[in-house]
Amino acid sequence: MEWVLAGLSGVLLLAVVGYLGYEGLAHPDGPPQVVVRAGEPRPAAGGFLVEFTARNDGRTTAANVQVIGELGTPPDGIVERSEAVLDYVPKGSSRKGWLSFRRDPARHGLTVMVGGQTQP
Amino acid sequence: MGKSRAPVRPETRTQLLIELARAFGGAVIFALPLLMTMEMWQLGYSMDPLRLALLLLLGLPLLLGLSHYGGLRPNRRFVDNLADALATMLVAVIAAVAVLLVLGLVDPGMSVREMVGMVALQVVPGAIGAALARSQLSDDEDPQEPDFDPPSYAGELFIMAAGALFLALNVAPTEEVVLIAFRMSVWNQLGLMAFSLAIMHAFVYGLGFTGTETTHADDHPVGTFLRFTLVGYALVLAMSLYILWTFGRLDGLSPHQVTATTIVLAFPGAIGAAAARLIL
Repeated sequence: MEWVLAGLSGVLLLAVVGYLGYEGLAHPDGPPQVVVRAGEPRPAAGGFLVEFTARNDGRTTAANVQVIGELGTPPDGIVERSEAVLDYVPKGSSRKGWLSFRRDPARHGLTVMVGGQTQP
Repeated sequence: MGKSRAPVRPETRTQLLIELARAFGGAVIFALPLLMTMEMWQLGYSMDPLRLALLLLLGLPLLLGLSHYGGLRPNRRFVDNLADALATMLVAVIAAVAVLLVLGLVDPGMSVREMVGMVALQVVPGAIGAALARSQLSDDEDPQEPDFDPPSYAGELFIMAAGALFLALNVAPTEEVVLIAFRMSVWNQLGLMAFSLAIMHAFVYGLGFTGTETTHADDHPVGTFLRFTLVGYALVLAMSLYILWTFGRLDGLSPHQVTATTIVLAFPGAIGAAAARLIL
């Protein structure tokens, strides 16, 4: 019985080591690449909420990721602006948040983008 | 390892109160680092209540096992162990409420959900502390009790799991675990695994701490490594994964990040497991 457990543990350990080795060799480090996508606006107290999903397709974790939402298109110009900051967006992972607006995003045209970010 | 003393069964009310007070002290000692950690307070309300409930439910068999394997008399009935486990949980609740009140961390503005969550989160580590205080810090000696047998293989694994759980619970809620994992390269992660394994093995078999196993004549060093250290580390990895999941630290992470974070938490876990084998 003890040897069965030892064998299973050995297999698990080798699997983890192999997986990490593969990750290290096949996907070397690089800069982060955060892309953000907005969902449908929903009415909320005081205005509207827009849920967004930020996904990091890059090779490093991004910290203090600034997500900016702007309402308005030319020729009217930017009508309203809302910001949120995500503590971490790990590589290969996604994070959600909400931007709030007083005006209806459906009427003004919403653009969502990523501002700056830092190294953790 | 095999301790030869066992506490005398309390016959008088005074002895019972003393034992409870000792358990209370143990709960405070072991839960205090958690009680004074910011992330623990936040987890009280932000944590998934179902995962917290599962943790509490699984805590009961853990405490039962600690009662059975942890140095008290080996012939206790199941009912005695069960009563012990429940009593330690109650003591942990009282200790947590007392400390949170004194520190002013619970105020009238909080919802019931928040307060219940904060206290419930402290129950498992506090109860482990109370159980350990009762078995390890007791000064009662009964010279007529014979030495009880060293624990079986399952008992050894259990003790390692309890030690790992204790250290991991203290470290897992903090942001630093995740932050360290985010910053590590793959080579750091592999090195940390090797280091954890080496320390686990050295603690118990190599360095001659009191209570270390003396290798028997028929014991192979490689066999010992495979059967105890390797299996122990796999157990620690599994428990670290479970704890991280319970605290919601893995939500939304890629498989690589999950692996990295688990390895980071398994480092204190491995040390806890090795220390538990020395102490218990």
